[in-house]
Amino acid sequence: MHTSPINTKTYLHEALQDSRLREAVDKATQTALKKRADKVEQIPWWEELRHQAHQTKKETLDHLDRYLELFEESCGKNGIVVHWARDADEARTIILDLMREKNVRSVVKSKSLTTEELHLNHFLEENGIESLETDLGEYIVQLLDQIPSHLTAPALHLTRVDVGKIFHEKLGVPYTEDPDALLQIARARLREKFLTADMGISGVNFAMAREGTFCVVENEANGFLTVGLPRIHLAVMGIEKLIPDLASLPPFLKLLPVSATGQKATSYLHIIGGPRRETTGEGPEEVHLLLLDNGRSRILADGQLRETLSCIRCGACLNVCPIYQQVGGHAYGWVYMGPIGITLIPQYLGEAEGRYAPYVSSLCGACFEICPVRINIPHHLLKLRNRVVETKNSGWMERFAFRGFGWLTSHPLIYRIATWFPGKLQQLLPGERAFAAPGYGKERALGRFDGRGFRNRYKSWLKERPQKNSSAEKEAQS
Amino acid sequence: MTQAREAILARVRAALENPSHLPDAPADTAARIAAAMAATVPPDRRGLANQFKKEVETVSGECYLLTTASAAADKLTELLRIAPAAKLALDGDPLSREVAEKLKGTAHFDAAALTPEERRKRLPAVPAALVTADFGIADTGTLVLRYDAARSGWAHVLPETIYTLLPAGRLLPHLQALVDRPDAGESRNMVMITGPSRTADIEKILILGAHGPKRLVVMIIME
Repeated sequence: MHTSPINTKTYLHEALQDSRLREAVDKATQTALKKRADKVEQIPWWEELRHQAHQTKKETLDHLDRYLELFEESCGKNGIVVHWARDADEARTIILDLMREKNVRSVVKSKSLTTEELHLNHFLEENGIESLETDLGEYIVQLLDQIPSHLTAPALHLTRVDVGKIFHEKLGVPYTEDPDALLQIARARLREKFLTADMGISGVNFAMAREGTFCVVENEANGFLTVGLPRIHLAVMGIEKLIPDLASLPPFLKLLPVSATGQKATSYLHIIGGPRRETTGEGPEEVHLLLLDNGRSRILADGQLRETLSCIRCGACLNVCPIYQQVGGHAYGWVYMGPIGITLIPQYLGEAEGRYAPYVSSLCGACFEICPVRINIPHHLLKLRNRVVETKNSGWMERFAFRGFGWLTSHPLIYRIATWFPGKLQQLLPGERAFAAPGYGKERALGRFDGRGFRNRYKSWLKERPQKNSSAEKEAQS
Repeated sequence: MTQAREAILARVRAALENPSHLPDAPADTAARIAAAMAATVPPDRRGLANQFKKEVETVSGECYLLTTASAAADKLTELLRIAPAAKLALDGDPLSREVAEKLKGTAHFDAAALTPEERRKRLPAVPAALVTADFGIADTGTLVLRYDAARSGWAHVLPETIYTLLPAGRLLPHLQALVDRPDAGESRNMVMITGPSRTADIEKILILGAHGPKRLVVMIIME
């Protein structure tokens, strides 16, 4: 376990200096927000859907043990092989053993954030197995050896010029910045891989416990080809992705595409409930499902914070976040980014490594307002900040400042002197200048102290108030 | 593996000993959703067909309302004159075959009659396919294909242009109506298709025809 914190401060500074990145992120998030708003307007029962989805997730999470057992049993009846992994290491071992046993040489992958938790591509490459991302955005970031910078739009931080250069350098094709031409290059390369790969790996958007089926949503048809062509399909899912049954799925399928991409429905939705369809010989011979814990049961243990496990990974909170809009996803330094990411980082990685994350927020509340499953992110951030302090992971300056402030406020006389003194001291500064404020003052001007202090101003306000009040009363009576 | 299973279940059970503090939804939520949705459902089959057409067109699909299978064959003949296809692949559905036999000027073959290996080779090479959907979902313009019949699902994704037949009697108002059907659980494998494949991964610019079809034409047969 690492204990040095994710270097959020440095990442944030770097991102803020990169004007091209900021332009790309700003444009993409604004477009996404507008498209979403247009669609939400067409669904007058949107708020009810949010409540319903939250209720369904609450029901599942509060009885997760039972739903997991039910799901496993139903999957078994459908011929889906279920694997369980406590952590990333165990998951990687299971996957590699399965591949070796089935003689898998090449893999096509459709977008799955859960596999990013496993750093699966690197791991497979190290073990001599070709693993190709097939979602266009994922394909681009894989060429760059990066991780996605957004939950649903992995290459959101790149412009078409960037993509043109990447394809030219990495694939040796002539430079073009025409998005359609770039897509055709990727499509041609990947078509061949789809038709020849031994295994398709997908994520899971929702899993239906009663039916023993799961669903994968996508737009590019790369998911269709991933789950439909190779002889083995492996789906990797976190244990929190369960819902009770198929009948509770529709509200999520309204909320997810609208929130993610401003679509009423995604182009493709696959419901998968077992291997090869006997009648046609199409589809995989085997379907394997890996259930991953990797810290989720720890998050579940907090009766409040378990709500963060209801996330459906739509990315709407990223788009609306005033901080994400400025810096993009890589500045957060982990697989999950944006408002939901900063609640998950300290919970998955621990308060020591994730100590800065809960502070990368203005607590403005826009994320809660937009969240399709009503996760109260600002509320959870306060609790997580509290945990950082209680586990003694806050910075010494902060601890010193708050301890000092606490002491001052409990000693009125010293407090009075301490607040009177800077105002007087300020008069020594020439003209209208104020005290220097390291950090803060770099981009902004700190105002001058009033000099009178709150207590004095409050006293004089109290003196003036009764006169005003009594004259107002007289007016009202007359 | 059983070790991991037991360990995870034990951890989950231990975690759930702490009481939940998640808020509950207002009690009438489900009823309010049902009422709001019911208010938007068109009164008849034609209304559903029109709604489907409008929705599929907003996602860059094309849609025609036709009286009979013969009318659908005429329409398809006309469309193939504008965008000729050397060969048309069929998914193996009886309705697709019926319409294909009435086509003038375009050769076709039944993909479902081939071995999976042959199908894998031929389907990516044909420009167009004629397929039949099991259901249509009107409020999103979505086609539903259940994998249990002897039809090719690959025919829905590998060619560049997909012509889909949809008898109007198979139109449902929304997804909830599909999952509430008594036989919903019987189809373990299903795909739902809304418009041609697409991506907006580069600067959020929409491009049709990502890894799947570039063009989707739906012909609703009203009779």
